Amino acid sequence: MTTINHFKSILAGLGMCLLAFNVSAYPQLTFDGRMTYNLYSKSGLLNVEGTLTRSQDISLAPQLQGSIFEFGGQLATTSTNSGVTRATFTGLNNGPDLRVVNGDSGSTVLLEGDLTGLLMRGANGSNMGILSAQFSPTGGSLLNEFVVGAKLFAFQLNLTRNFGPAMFGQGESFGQGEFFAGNVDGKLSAPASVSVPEPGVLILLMLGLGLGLLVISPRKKFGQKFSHHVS
Amino acid sequence: MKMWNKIIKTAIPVAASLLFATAANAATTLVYPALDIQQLTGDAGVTSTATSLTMGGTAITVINSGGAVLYNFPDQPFSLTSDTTGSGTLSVGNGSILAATFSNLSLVDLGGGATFSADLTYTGGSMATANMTGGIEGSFFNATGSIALGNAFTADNLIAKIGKVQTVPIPAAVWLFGSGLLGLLGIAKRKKAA
Repeated sequence: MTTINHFKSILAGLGMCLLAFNVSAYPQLTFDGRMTYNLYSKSGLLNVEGTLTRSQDISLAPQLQGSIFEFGGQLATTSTNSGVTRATFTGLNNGPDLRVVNGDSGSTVLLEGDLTGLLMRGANGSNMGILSAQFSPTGGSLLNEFVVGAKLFAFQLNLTRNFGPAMFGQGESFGQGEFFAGNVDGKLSAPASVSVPEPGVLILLMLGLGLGLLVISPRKKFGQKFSHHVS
Repeated sequence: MKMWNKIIKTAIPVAASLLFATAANAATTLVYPALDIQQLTGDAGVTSTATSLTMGGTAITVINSGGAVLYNFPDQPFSLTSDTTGSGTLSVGNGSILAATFSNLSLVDLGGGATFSADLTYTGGSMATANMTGGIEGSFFNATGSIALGNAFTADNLIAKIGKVQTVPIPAAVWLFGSGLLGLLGIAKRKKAA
């Protein structure tokens, strides 16, 4: 009976260790800031710059305070359908599309990478819209935390030009410079589960099993002897 | 005389329609500093049923328009409940920071995401001591169905701002046009009297 109890304890411990090994994290960086859309020679350039306001499930959390979050894209297409204007953007020609830089030194790159499918959309006549894109990290100390399925989501508000067919001035003879601006509030998150590394867990498990067996064996023998004496 | 009457008769409807159009297009802006609401792990996000819509998130900071954190307080729960007419209640910090009612929640389906807004009437909490009205503007993504009040769907990545709301002032040109029109009326009256 005692042996069975010990085995039950070991199995329960093994189960708990396996559960602990699969603990998941959902890394997330939130940011707030300003966006501008500029026209250069009839092409448009979107630029967002803000500060990190919060992090979640990030290993370097204390170092993120005051960090700078910036991203951008080159206007590719615009369309208006069913009262919603959409604009797609391609990556920037020089350098990464998105960068998070440490605010203290300004030189430590915490995260950088490229955006694909950057899409901005809003209802015609509204000064609010949304931005979304997929993010592929290429460098920075937070690289590993955003490797799987990272996405960018942002809310745009207080835009100085309402959504509509002429919003992006594509192909029009507007002068160079800022075409519209606004506020942006968003997040970069890795929705896919990322396993938290538990490097010592298997070694500890094996050690625990070994010790457990060492303890069980003499007790089992003692129990058998004791039962013989009783009988 | 007939010409002046014609001008006035034409000008008045034009002016009226211009004023109406301007009022209709007057956009609102959210005034900073504002409360920053985010959906963190464990928050409910957005759930809509045939009878109600609920949102659950976390108020994380008070920020200014440049994104600088003005006040980084401990995380506070945010919740919003609306009926299918867009009326409901909202609370931040279980009402200790803000309790409010609203009657005009609107959702705009943008395909794969949505924006929403509502005008708030503050009923309690520390924010209500400074102002009694404000607004919430925000967005959410990854909706599982058609986004509208009364439709069944869920969504995540809730992002929102709460603050004072300001209506964009009507351009000065409209008032100049109006005063010009009054001048025309005056001239017509004087001509008629003569």
